[in-house]
Amino acid sequence: MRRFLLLFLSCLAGVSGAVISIPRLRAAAPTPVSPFAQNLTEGGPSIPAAAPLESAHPAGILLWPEGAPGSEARRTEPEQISWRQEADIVFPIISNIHAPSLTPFLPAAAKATGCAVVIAPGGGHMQLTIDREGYDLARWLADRGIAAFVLKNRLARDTSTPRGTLQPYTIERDALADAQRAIRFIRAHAAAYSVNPARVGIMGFSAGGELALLAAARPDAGKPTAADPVERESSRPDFFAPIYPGGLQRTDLVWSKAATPPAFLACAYDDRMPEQLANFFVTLRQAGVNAELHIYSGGGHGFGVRADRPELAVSTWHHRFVEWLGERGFLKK
Amino acid sequence: MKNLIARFLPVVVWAATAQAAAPVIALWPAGAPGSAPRMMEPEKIVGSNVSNIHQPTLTVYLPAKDLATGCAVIVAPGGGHARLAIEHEGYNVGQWLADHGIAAFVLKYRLAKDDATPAGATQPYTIDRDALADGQRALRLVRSRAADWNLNPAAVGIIGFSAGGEVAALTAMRATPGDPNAADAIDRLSARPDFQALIYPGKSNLIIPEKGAPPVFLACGTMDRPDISEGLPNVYLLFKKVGVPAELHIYAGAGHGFGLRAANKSPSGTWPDRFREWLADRKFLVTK
Repeated sequence: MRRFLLLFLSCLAGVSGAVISIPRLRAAAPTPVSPFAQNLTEGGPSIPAAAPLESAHPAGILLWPEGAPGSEARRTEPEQISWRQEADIVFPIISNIHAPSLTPFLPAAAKATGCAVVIAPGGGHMQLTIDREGYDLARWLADRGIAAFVLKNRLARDTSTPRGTLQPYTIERDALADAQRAIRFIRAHAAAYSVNPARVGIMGFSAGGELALLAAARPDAGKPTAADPVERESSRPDFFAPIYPGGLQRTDLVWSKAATPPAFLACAYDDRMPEQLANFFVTLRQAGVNAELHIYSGGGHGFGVRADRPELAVSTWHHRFVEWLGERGFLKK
Repeated sequence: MKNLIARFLPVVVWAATAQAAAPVIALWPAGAPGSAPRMMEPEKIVGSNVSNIHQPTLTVYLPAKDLATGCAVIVAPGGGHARLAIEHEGYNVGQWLADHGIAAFVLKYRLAKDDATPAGATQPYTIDRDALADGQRALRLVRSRAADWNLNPAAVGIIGFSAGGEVAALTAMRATPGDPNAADAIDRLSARPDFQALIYPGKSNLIIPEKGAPPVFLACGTMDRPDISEGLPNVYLLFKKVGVPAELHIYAGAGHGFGLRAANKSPSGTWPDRFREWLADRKFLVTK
C-alpha cells in the first residue's frame, strides 16, 4: 500500500524519475500500476549510462491484484531489471517476477480494430526480453489499431532465484496460468478496452512462444459460477502466433480443427528450430488447422522487432503478422 | 503470307495486353535441338495461356538504368507442362521485377504434355530433356549477354511456378558447367542458376537438393494441395539438412496458382516483395 501511495504521490508531483509513461486508458479500465516502480533494483554487468528507463518501464496492471495463486507472499517483491548488450544494441531484461501483470498499449479510438494481442516476451523462462519482444512491438501494433498487452509472467527458471534455491514456479502451472489469466482478463475488460472478445489472441517469442503454444493447446472455457468475473471468461485464444518458439519438442500437445485456433508462425533459418517449426506447420495442416509460416533465410534467434536493420527481410515479419490478421478477418471494423 | 500472319498473331495479342514492348529472343535462332522442323509453327493462345511451343524464347524485361541492380531472373511459368500461364506467372512477374531493378526473362519452354498435341499423337518433348534444356539455355544466354544488359553474371537465377518450378528446380539439381569445347559460344557458359525460387512447385517429392546447391526461396499457399502445402516444408527441410540457405513463406489464405495479379490484395499478393528482400539479404542486388 505504501508503495502505491508513493507512486501516486510521485506521479502527482511529476517527479517520477525512474518511471513511467502511463498508457492512455478509458473509463472503467483498470488503473495501471507499476509493481516495481518505486523499488526497482538494477543489476547486471553493464548498465548503460543513458538507460532508456522511462520508455522501458511503462506501468502494468496486476493480473491478480491480491497476488497470483501461490505467489501471494512474494507479490510485493521488486522486479529486477538488467541490461544486456548485443552487438550494437543494448536492451533491458526483467526478472524476479512474482506479481504477473499486463502492460496495455491501446490504439487511438479512430484506429481501433477491436483486435487484441497478448505478447509474451522470451528469455528462456529465466527473464523477459521486455523491449524488443514486448513494448517495442506493442507500440507498433497499437499504432495499427491493435490493442497490445505485454505479459510479465512468472518464470520457471527465474535468473533472480539464488543459486541452490528451488525455483518456485513451473511453466505449465504458473507461467501458463498467467498467460491464460491474461486472455481472460482482456475479455473481462473488453468493453473498457474497446476490444472484441472474439478477437483476443496471443503471440509469444521463444520461451513466450511456448506459452502461446500451451495457451492454444490447453484452452479452458472458464467457470461460469466463479466469484471473480475474470475467471468466468474463456482462456482460449482466438489466434496464436508463436515466434521462434520453444516447446516444439513437446509431444503432449494435441491440435485439432475443432479446438485449435489459426496460427501464425515465424522464425529464421539460422536458429535452432526451423526444422521443428516447418514440421509443426505440417502437423497443424494435417490436423486441419489453418496456419501461415514464414522462415527467413537470416535473422538468428531473438530478432524480435528490430528497427536497427530495416533492410533485412526478417525485420518486416511483424508486417506479415498484421497482414495475416487482416486476411483472417480479425481487423474488420 | 498466311503463315506470316499466323506468326505475328501472337504479337498482336500481346499488344492488347501491353506486353508488346518487351522484346522476344529465341533461345536457338536456328531452332532448338530436335525442334528445328517445327520452329515456324505458331503458338496456340487461349486467353492468357500459351501452348504449341516449338521455338523456346525469352521475353526480355530490363530495368531502367537508375534502378538496375545487376541481378537477372529467368521466369518459368506453370501450366502443368500442357501450357504456360504466361500472364500471371510470366509477364506480370517480369514487369514487376524490372520495375524493381531486376532484369527478368520470361521463358517459354517446350511442353512435355503440350495441349496442342493432337489426342493420340506422341508428345515430342520431355521435361527432363527439352524443358530442362530450355531452362539451361536461358541461363546461358542471359549470361552471354551480361555485358550488353548491364548484368552481374554471378547473379543470374531462376524462378518457376508450379510446373515451371519443376523446371527451375531441375536446372539447379542438374547444374551443369559450360562446355569449353562447345561450338556455340553460349554453351561454353555455365547453366547453373545462382539462386532458385520455387513458387508452389509441382512434383515436390522429386526436389532433392545436394550440398552446395543454389540458395532457395520457397513460397506456396496453405490451401494448396497437400503435396505442395505439406510437401514444400519438407523440401525446406531437405535444403536445411544439406546446409543450403533457404527461405520459406506459406500463406494461410492462398491456394494454387496465385502467381502475380494486381487484383490479389491478400498477403500472398506480396510475395514478390519478399522475394526481392530475400535477394537483397542474399546479396544478389547491388544498388548504386
